[in-house]
Amino acid sequence: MAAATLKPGFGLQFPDLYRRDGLVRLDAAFVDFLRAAAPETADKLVTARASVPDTKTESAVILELAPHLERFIAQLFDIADDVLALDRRHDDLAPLYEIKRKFVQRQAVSKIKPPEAATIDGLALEAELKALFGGKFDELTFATQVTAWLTDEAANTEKITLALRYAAWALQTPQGRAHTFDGVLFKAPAKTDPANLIPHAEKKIVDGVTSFHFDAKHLRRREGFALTDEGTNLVGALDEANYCIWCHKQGKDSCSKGLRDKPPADAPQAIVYKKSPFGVTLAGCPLEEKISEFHMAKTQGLAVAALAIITIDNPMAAATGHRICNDCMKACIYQKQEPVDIPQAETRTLKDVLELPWGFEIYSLLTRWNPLNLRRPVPLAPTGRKVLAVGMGPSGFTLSHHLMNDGHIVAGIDGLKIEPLPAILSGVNPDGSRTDFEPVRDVTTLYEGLDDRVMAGFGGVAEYGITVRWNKNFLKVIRLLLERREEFALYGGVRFGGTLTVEDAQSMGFDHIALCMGAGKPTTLDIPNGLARGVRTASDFLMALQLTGAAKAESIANMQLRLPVVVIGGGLTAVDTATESLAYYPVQVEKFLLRYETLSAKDGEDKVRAAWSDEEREIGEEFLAHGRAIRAEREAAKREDRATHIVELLQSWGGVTVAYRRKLTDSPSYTLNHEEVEKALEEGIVFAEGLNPLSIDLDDYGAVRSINFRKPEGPVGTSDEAGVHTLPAHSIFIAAGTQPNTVLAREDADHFALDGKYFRACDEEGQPIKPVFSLSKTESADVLLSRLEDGRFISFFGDLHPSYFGNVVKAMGSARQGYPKVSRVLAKHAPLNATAPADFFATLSNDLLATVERVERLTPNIVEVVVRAPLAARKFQPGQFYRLQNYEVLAPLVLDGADSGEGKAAQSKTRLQMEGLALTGAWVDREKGLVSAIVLEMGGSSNLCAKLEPGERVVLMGPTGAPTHIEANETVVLVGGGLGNAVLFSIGQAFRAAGSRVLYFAGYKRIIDRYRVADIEAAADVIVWCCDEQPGFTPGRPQDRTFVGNIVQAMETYASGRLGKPELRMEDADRVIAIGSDRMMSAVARARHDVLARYMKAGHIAIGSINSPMQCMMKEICAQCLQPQRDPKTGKITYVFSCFNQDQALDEVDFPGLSDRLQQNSLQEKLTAQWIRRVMPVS
Amino acid sequence: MTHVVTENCIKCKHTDCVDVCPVDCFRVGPNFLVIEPDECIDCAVCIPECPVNAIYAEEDVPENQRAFIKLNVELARIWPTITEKTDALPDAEQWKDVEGKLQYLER
Repeated sequence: MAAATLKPGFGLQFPDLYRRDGLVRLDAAFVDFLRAAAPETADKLVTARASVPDTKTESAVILELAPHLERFIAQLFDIADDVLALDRRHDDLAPLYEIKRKFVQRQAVSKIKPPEAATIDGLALEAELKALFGGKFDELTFATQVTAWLTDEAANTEKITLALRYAAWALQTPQGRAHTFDGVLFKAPAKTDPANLIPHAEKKIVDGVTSFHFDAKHLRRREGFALTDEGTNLVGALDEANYCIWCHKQGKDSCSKGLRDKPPADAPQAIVYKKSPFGVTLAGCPLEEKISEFHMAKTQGLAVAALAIITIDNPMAAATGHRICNDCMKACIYQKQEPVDIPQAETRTLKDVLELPWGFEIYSLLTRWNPLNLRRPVPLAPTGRKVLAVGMGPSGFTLSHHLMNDGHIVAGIDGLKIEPLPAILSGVNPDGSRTDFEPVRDVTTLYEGLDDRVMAGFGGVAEYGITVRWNKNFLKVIRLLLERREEFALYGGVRFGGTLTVEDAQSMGFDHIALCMGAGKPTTLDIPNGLARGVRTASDFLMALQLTGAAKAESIANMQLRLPVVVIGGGLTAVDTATESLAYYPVQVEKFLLRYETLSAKDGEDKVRAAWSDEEREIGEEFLAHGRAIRAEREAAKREDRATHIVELLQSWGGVTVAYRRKLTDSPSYTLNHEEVEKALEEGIVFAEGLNPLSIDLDDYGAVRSINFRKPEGPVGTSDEAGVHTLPAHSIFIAAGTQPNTVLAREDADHFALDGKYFRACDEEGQPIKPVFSLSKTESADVLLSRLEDGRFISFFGDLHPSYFGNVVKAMGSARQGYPKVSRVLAKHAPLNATAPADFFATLSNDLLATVERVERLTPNIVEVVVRAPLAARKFQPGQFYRLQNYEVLAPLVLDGADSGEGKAAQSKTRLQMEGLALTGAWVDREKGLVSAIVLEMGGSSNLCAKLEPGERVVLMGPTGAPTHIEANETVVLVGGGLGNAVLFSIGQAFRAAGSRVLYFAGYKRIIDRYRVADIEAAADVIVWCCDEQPGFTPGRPQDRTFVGNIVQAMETYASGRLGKPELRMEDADRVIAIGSDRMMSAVARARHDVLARYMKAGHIAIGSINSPMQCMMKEICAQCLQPQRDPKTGKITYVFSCFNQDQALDEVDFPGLSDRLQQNSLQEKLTAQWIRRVMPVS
Repeated sequence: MTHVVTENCIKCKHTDCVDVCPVDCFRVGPNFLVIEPDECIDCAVCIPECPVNAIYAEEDVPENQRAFIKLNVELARIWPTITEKTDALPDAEQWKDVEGKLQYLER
């Protein structure tokens, strides 16, 4: 990025714009500027700031200030010409909207009725008008010319009639409407019909089941993961802003304030909101953004001031607007006809400013200094108080912003990996210290294509939940708003409750903890085979897609998806999962085909396929055939110069169906976001209604084949006697809702109590209270959760909160409404810690940042990674594990120049970026802050560990999972297979330290696989060394034994005394802990009931550490780790989150289920392993 | 809910309201305007425009004017739409705030 110099006016330097003292001077300069231009307005400003007037007066003052702010900003950034040009573009378009309302919608309609309009030859008229317009015909020309003619109606009667007839034709006839479809001028708002919000949806009834889809002519042919919706341009935004009637003048701006109903007679002051026809409360914008006012400024050609008005209440406006929120629109005064598309207008208003020279800096500045914000034009003076914001999603980043502007210091943490930004942009060095950053002149230099951007991790659900319908570059914009401030520090890969607890936070000096952790636990399907291979939660799928970057050509992340897909659910998550799975499939098979061909060209197909099982061969053939079909279709389309009909192919392979239990019109996606359902249908999704899941059928390999539903009969939901409807499905995604993320209540019951599914709230005295349920605007903003012993508080926001759950803007609203309360309770106590921000953050960075200390190879396929991560090391307890990841921006990019066959240049890049690896701590050194993790190289991401460099920054999230239960005075049998032994080092030592005796069976395939003998000896009183390979091991201690064969045989042989008199008897074992492959643990589980039964104490405890597939490891968030358990007595199946509870009773673990789920991606894993070998030859 | 034109419009008919109505819900008779309640969106833009303060939100209609709520419904079904301002009736000034104008209503 070329360094650009920004020399602000008014005697300021660029860094001043990010510092409070500079902003105070800037504000004074503005008041002087205003006084010079308009002394009376300046007086009004001063008066209004001293005592904020009533709402209507406030709006009037803001709009009076607007033009002055516009000029001031232009001068400050020395871009007067650019701002003028932008504003003039607004003015130039004005006739369009004036003529639309006054001439087209009124005169043309009243003077020419439809029957007459139908007789008009519109195209001929257009030619005539074009001649009159001097050879040019477009809507703006039409509007401008007609405006001119209307100034002298008498002289222009004929021309006006011509224009009127054309307008009547364009507006009132099907041909005319089709002809002017892309414009804005010849349109009239349609009446709203709640039952028919998706006019193009084609209804189909098959086998008594109703489904909806779009015909080919209404399809939007999406390809891949580029931004699918650019949003409107200035013409469209001004169309909306002019359609708005600026109700703030009469206090009717329900978009902002909510659509009010008459209060009941006994409570005349109560605020009662109306409900939509679907029963949705119409509370308007949860941020109470001054929508009507910004629309007015926009129509007045005040582009910058319009954004300034938005940012008064919605400083994080980059995270709201088009395709994100619509609470405002639903509460628009136009309830009977199309509402104003406020989100479009808002996002365009933001983009218009961002696209100016220094546009990012202007927006950024307005979030800290905003003279239109009468209450807080500049950040308040530093309070010295420090807040830990837990979770960097929409509520977390909004809250962080407001708390900083209230003078506090904020550290934001998030369990997800957050990729570092270049220090020149963020002002943050890799070690967390601060440096100068450069102003951004051109905002597009920040932007990346959504299909190849770095999955940066900041933004929580806005990053991993929201699809490419929304421009995620805005997350980078928002992150910079926070990260550039010296009052803020950002730490990814830190999970509250794991790495950092309430006590830690207090001892570090945090005066307040704000929980912004969003939704967690997804609902599962309690039906037969409800978690068979091929079933995943939507959270798991969306996270895997959007955080690993599996869809990127250069990625080595594995996410295997087969068609047909059935998504269970009816909310926005179901719709998003449907569109993203349909978009992912072709990307996946084309990538598979390309890598397959590239590998085969060198080694031959047989070698590539050698390790494939029957099932994998079947899937592989399917992927290859589909990949080739798509390729052929692309070539044919190119040859025939037509659209590429990939959707049709996908549909012929089963496509993607959303299956909802009730009617489409009852679904949350329809009642809250029907536009999103419409967009999904445009992409070729089918929405089937009235389907209640009954059971899942499996194929010969134990994977999902189809899903059975109870079919509706007659009116939906009225009959229990209905038959069964079966949908074929190789993938089933469950999007049936989530619960708030309240795992903390189970980890730390002292500080976190529950009230139903939510945390319990408290008042400022710490007394339990019950916040109003599901209302995005509450009068009391009950965001306090818990009062700590010292009187300080914990608060909660967003999806965690019973009032504010539901969507991004409600989460942001919770922060906006709740921050004053946080500031108020903060003011009650002196700061815990007087340290200046830089020193405070230096300590924090030292504790929280993780760097590679060293990497050591232990065996041909096992390496030890030692990471310096002091807090993560301090918190470790035996049995727990971590999520290790390298950073995408630091990961090597391997260029594969030796491409042959059909390999294309673009495909020859491979980013050696890991998926999150679940790694058990082998040992920790709390003094030095070191954690050792031992990694088995399995061909995929794990193979990249050997490439980590000392000093490299990594993510080490954790410790997570549950500490292994350690008992005193027991005899404990540890059974370790291969890598599993690493986990047992610390467990065995802990048992021994507690006074238990440890008999340790350490098993290995080959002699060469053994590592860290001394650690195992330290962990065991007696070791039985087992190896499949002759001649086995030589024990190093007299009490130890050796055995050649598998580990169960070893246990039996030892127990029987055939290895010599046992020093520790199997019969005395109180507890067995097995850690190894699923097969090994399964064998141990079984053997205890047959070959070992006679040696085992009745009622002994037997535990395995279950290595389910895992992704987030943040406990009950993504649900990839769900593990079926079968009650040995009743046979009842339940599901456990293995990343929370990895230690599970061996007799309850459903091992076949585990084995099945471990194979979810097996074909891709095998191909990727070969690919990695190709691009990363063993050195 | 809707808005309602009341007695003081009779024989005045300024039509300033018509010009600002965003949904064109005014209907016009010989010497009076009414609001079509099915189209009115309660935006209240028309209230301050009326020079004779004849328009009220339904719930705010003065007691002695309540009959106009029904009258608006009734006449809106018969009368044509008006979307552009016209001249007020010639004697508008003279009839302003005269009580008991209902008897002069022409249908």
